[in-house]
Amino acid sequence: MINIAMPKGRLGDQVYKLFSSIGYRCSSMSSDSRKLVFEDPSCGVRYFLIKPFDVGIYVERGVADVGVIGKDVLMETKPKVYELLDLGFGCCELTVSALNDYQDDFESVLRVATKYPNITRQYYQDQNREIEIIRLNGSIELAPILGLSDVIVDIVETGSTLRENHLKICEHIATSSARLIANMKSFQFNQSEIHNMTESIIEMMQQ
Amino acid sequence: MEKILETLRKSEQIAYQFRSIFEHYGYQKFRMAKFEAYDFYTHYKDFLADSPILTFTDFSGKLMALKPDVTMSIVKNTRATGKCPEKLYYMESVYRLSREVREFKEIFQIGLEYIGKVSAYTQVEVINLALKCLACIDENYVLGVSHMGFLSGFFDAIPVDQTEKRTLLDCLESKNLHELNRLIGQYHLDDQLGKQLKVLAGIGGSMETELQKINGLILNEKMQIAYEDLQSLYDVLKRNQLSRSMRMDFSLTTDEKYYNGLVFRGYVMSVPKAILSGGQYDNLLIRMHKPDLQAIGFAIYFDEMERVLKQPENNSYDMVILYDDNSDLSVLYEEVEDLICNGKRVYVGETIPQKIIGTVYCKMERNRRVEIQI
Repeated sequence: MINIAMPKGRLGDQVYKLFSSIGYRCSSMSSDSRKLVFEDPSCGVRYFLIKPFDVGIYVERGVADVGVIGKDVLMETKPKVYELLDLGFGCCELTVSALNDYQDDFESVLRVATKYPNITRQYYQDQNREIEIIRLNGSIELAPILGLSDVIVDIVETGSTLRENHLKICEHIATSSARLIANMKSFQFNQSEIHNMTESIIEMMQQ
Repeated sequence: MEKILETLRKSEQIAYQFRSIFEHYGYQKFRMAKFEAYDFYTHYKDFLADSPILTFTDFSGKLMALKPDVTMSIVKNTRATGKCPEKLYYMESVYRLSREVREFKEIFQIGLEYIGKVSAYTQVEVINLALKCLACIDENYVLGVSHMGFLSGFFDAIPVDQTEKRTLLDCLESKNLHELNRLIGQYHLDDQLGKQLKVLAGIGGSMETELQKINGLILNEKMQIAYEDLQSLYDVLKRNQLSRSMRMDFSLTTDEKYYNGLVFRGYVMSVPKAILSGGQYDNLLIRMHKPDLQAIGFAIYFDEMERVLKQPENNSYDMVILYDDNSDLSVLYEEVEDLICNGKRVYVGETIPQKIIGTVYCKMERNRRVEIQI
């Protein structure tokens, strides 16, 4: 039985579609259900539906053997796991954004609202810029509008949320997409199954 | 004696087994104080992986530290010479910052160190002991083996700076082939080196098959020496059943400032993280002004094994005896001693706590033990 940690939401639907196409089908799986664990013994698979930021923890601690996580979350949480594949979907950009008319004052401490404090700290440390991090859990775009922060560090997919809120991208930090990760111990004990899984995904991606 | 062993907790039983194994192979217990002068660690801070140190001031005003590491203290105090090695093991607590909760943790470690001249046989002996320790914990175990000499020789041969090298090593560590592919292009590595780097990143199987693969990657003498180390280790250990669980794995890249030769990491099925880690660390001895000595060793982390070592309290007793003010305590005492000498577990009290379960319940009525129903 292989345990797979999947991020809840739209990315999770794409992940399940991919895994079911390579043989990890789960007849009880339904996105409408409020269940968090789905199991199909005949296919030897158990899925956990987890908040995207928690996938790394579940895999690092061996509750799940493998999992799918965005590169942005991987960079932020740095779990000790193997990063086996770039799945090529769930693409987005991690950027610094501000109000359209914002002009930076390099002599003042920059107030940055984000749910990525570690990436943000590292990014500005590399630029020797003094910042104040304002840790938020959602609706980050609201922070500069209400004067809570000067800029935000967040992911941008199409840019429409930014545009609708009169925000612009100022700097690009990194590109993110979904990654297949594995627990280090599970990889040692299930090498051939995990290897076959990655090979099948690569084949599927090439089609 | 067997009865005593039975009553030990699993963690104590395992520690006792390790101790017995180490002593049989000629390793002696190293005892040390809980504290070390803080000054000592400031000289070698780069070996402590940025972990802060718990400190306090002693009566004389000297700043002291609760040990964050045992190996450095052993190396500092060693009396080993090239001709007269020291074989030591330790069972100690270290105090480090937990990565997950950002709080200091007391971590119990059992470790083994060989300091002197590390021969091919020494490597075999230490790896063999690591395998035996893993087998004590769980019959399903894997020991991943890598060689810092091989990796360092390979990186000597490719034109990258220190930062680029660190980034490439990070990819090897996380088995991140897609990022490695991108970096090969970004750093303009030639096709042949790029291919070899990808083979190196993919090494992670049985010693026999992977030795053949890495033989084709040798680019210089450093890599040749490292290859011969790995080959001779396998040649000796392949006759041993335990070695079937050895894998060559170059995702094990670890700290070059510390390790220079064989490095290894052990996993057991029942624990989600590595529980054993070790290697040859001559670089530490050079930094600690003992360049004529070499050393190899490993540590086993008991904090990582908590899940497998957890066991419920044993509240079951062969006999529960109740007494009161009228009971003859001399008779009670003799009865209890007699039962315990016969290997029974006995609980004596004026009342019975709810969690206590007895096979037989008795009451001391004056000078006589009477069976009762509960």
